[in-house]
Amino acid sequence: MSDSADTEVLEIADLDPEAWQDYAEEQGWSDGLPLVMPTEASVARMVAGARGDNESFPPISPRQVVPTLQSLAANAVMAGARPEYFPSIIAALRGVLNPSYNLHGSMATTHSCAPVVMLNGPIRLALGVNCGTNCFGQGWRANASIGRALQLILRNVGGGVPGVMDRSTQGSPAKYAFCFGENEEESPWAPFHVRRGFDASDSVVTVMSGEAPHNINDHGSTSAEGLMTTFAHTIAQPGANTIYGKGPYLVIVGPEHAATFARDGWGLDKLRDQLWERARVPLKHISAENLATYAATGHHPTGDFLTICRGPEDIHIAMAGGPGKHSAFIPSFGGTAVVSTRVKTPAA
Amino acid sequence: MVGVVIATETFKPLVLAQAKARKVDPHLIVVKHPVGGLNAEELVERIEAAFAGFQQEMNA
Repeated sequence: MSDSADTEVLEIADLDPEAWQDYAEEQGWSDGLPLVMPTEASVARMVAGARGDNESFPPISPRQVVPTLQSLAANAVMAGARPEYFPSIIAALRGVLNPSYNLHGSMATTHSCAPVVMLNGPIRLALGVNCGTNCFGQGWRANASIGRALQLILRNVGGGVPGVMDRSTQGSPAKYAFCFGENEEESPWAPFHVRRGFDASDSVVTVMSGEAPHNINDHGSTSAEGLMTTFAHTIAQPGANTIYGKGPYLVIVGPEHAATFARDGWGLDKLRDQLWERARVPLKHISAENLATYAATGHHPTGDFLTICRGPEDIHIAMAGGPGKHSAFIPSFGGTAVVSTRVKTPAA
Repeated sequence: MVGVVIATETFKPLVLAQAKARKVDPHLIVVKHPVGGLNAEELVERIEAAFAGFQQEMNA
């Protein structure tokens, strides 16, 4: 992969920080938040963070532009990323460029989906990725800038500009940045990436085109069975894309809920299978017009219910968060996949 | 064989932008927005507009 050929280097006069922000906004590069000014030196440091990754990139939808490493690095700098974050940003980009992710559809849709980024393996700790308290929220540079860098790349290189190529009806705060790590250290289950065939020592970035996280509050249940009742009925929503698009879900179990499931002997297979069997939308919750539309496109009820996805294999479970009786689910865009990519660090 | 693309006026810029990205020049028929959520009576106008555009393309 070249970081020099066909790369346009913009000569920008010395600008003070305010003038730089104005300039960047005028160029259409900003997500609305201030951007770090990329310089030749800072872009070069970022590029150096990706040495060892020589695999070329396919074109980025919707603009169908083949990126250079420098263009990606410039956006990572603008997002506020440190050079050591860059391999994870590239892995996330490779994930969304996998055809099964359906980047083009997920960028142009009216749905509110954003690229959800989850990190596994040693790199979480090395980069200081928050996997615990407030892991979906603010306050951690790695989470914020890795997620933001991917978004800026999709906007500025891929052309996913809101209102032009990005036609989301309402958008989502997740479109600024949505990146977190699995709390492997406190999980009763094998790490997500290991369950997907990677080594525990691998660092892996998983992406899915999904909504912002939906909370699952259960302070009262003291058993796995009780928690499952809450989980299943919270997830079973008639307004999710997947009710007709059919696609994956992420279920991010909080550590205290996970401990209860584990204490009662519920492994991940049982948890997933129970969600598949019980997180179903009663037909009485769905309008007659919608039922007719779904049927016309081949999505028929199962008994008195509609399923929320195609099968238990569409339900992907991980553990993240800190103390408290909360979990979350993340419905996908629908026509998308959960894609995991190994991070290639310079030493790898 | 002639292929046509039917889009609503709201999404016409998206269609044109994506067509440009793919270096194609589609035969575009534009109808009023929206199409989804209309009842049968409301949909008649869209169908007529689309059909008229289609006939025009076929005869061009």
